[in-house]
Amino acid sequence: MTVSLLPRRPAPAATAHGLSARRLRRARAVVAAGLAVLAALVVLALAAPLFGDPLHIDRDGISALGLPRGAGEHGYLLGTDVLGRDLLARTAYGLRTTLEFTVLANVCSVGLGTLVGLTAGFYRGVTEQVLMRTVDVFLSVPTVISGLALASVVGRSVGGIVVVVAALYWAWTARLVHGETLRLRGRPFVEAALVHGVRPRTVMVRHILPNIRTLLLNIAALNGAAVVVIGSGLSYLGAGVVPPHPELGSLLNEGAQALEFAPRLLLVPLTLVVALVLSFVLVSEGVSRMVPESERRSWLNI
Amino acid sequence: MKESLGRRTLLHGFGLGAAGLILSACTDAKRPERAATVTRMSTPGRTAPGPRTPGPVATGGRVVTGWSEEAQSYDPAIGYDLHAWEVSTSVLFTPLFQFDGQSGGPAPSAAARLPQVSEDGRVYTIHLRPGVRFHNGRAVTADDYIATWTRVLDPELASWAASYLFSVEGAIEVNEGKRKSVSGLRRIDDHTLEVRLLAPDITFSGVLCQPFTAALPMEDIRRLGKDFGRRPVGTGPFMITSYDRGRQRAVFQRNPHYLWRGTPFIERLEYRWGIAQAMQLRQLMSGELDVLGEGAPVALGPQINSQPDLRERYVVPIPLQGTSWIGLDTGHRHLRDRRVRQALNHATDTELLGRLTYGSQEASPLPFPKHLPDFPRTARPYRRDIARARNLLAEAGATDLRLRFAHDGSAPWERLSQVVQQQWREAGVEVTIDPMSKSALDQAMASGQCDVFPRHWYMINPNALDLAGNCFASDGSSNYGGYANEAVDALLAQARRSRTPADCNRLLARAEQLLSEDPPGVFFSSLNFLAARNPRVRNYHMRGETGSYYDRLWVSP
Repeated sequence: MTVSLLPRRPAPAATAHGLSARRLRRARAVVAAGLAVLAALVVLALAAPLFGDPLHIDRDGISALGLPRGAGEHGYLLGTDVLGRDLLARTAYGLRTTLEFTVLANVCSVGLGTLVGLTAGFYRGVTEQVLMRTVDVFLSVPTVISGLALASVVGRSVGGIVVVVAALYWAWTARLVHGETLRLRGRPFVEAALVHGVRPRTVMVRHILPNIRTLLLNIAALNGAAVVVIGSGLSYLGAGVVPPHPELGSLLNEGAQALEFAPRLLLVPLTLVVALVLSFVLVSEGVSRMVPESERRSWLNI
Repeated sequence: MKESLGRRTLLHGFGLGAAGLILSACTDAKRPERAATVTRMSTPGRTAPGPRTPGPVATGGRVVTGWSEEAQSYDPAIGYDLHAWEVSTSVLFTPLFQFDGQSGGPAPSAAARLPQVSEDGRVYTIHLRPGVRFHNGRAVTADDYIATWTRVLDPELASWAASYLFSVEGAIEVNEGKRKSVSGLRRIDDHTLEVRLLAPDITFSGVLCQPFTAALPMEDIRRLGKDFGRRPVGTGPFMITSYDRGRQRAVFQRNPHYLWRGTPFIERLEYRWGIAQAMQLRQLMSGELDVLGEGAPVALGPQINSQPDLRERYVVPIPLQGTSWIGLDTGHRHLRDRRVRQALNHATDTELLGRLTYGSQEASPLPFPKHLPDFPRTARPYRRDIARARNLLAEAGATDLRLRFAHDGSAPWERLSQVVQQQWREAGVEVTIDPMSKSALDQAMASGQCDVFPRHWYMINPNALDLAGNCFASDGSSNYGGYANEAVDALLAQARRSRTPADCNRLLARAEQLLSEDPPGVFFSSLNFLAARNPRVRNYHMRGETGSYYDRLWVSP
């Protein structure tokens, strides 16, 4: 038997979260990085009116050969698009539109999913069977194809994207919240509250919901990234926000067609989409790291 | 040892043999068919009417033309899409007359000379050129023309071209199924045809230049039945040797019986279809294609314009006799008022719209094409004036004008519609863009369900009556906006009856002035055709309304 003479590294101090202070710091840094990127994008979107009218078409905006102006030409900081519109103004407004439907669709899908998951997990029995089999049906629907089909029914607009995304994504939240509710439903503090005659709705709101808030934050962040991708994807495919109104997906579509002669028309909106998705993923990742490993949940182990 | 040497020798033998085979295969592969068949340089003789051919020229070789789609039919009475139209006008058939120069008047081709026209302008006597033969070797006679024209009018065939012959006496009765023969057509002898018209019609000489009036052999039509549309027999500079739907190509061989001896200069013409436009452009630059049948695609205009080498070496803009305009539904409660339509013309920046067509259109805010020959233009174009537009709208009580702009998403309209939307918004007009499929748009236009819609017209007859009579006359077959102006109708009818082109143009100039003052739409451009060809194709000419002159081009040896 050998005994090490080296001084033992002191065990990291556990925090209230059950994590080491160093891991918690790192997790917070990841969240902060995500929030910083998101905040910068929100500021850019809010400042959109300062960059001019995104729909205004100026004769100076295109050359005699019909080509868009390059960055810095004729006073256009990022140049113009194929119709001679200011790319900076269109990108900022496009980002604003994308953020609008991201927030709305996220609130709708996470809200609906939470309500269904919580109710099914708490009441069990027939209610659970009906609700969760409905969730299974929605989870089995292929996202993009059914999204395109649904978009053609609800109309091509921000509202349409919100409806499509909420309809396609609420089931994922419901499945996760249901599992977590089942876990908490058997805990002593929930049983005790019920035994003492606390109404079920109050138990759900006061005792279960606060205990799944980290999970909900995590879901909302990841869901946000998915909403950006699917919403912009719909616009890219012509089923979301239609021209001339700018949206990052429709700008990507226009940029893809201009790749050979004006690659910045693709690169600028693409950078913003990547940054937006990254910001949501960073927040989600950071939040996830704040939870002890034993209690982590992810999309992969529903 | 012996065995070892023997095997080595054998292997050397195989190696040399294989190398020889590979080398010979490579040599064959590298030997282009077109170069192998180019024979010699010679001075050309007379060519059919059209652009001039300066000599000397090389004979032989092959030209490959690319198309997006298969043609509807190579039967000139049936097919009218660009692919079919070029085959009909430039490859397989020879009409009685052909347009001289780039866009000049009719000159004799299968006819021996210009027609004799009676004093009252109603009787045309056409003398056929002797020695004109079908691809099957049979001589063409006056009876072939009578049979061909009667077939075009046959209601069972439902030819798109039938209405072009309605000015012939008895033609309408045949088309309505009331008679079997056209009373206005008479054979005087094998080489003389008499045509009697219902009334003088100055456009009739232009009709005689069209491929659907070229003679067809009835025996081959009967023999081939519906397959005549794929293997037609005509009198043109080329004859079809194969039509392969599977491989998506048709091959045409030089016609040894062609009446303009010594032409065409190339031995073979090949059409390939089913090639996406972007791919066509790449194949043109790589030398796989020599000519793009539909020209340089407008959708790829920015790509082409951003590459000076491509634009200057491969693309030739050719003015067309045609215009493009924004059609307006004159049945709309506000668009009924001419002041509203004038306001929309004042609200439109035609120069900007022209730029966004990348050379395929030339800004021209007038109803008729910009380059009409000998046309005494008196109409005044609209200038952009937003204040004036607002005033006119206010006068007409249309300050809350909301319009629906339907289009089929094709270039350049998906972009132009957005520009128009913004320009009209400045004048206080709200436009909703409604993209739809082509068939849905056609249906919506025909049933008057769109307020605003894209319009263009290629004149196959170089006379503005072709455009005005079809699109702006109250009984015009393509008057989708329901436009009606009695004064315009009267001028068009008078112009049709005029005896000389100068008289006709004077009347049409007045009609254009009226159309400008009481606009049926927003006129913004005169059409160009962006011909695209490989620089190795020499003496390349094309007439936008018909197609490439394959009978006089040649390929560099």
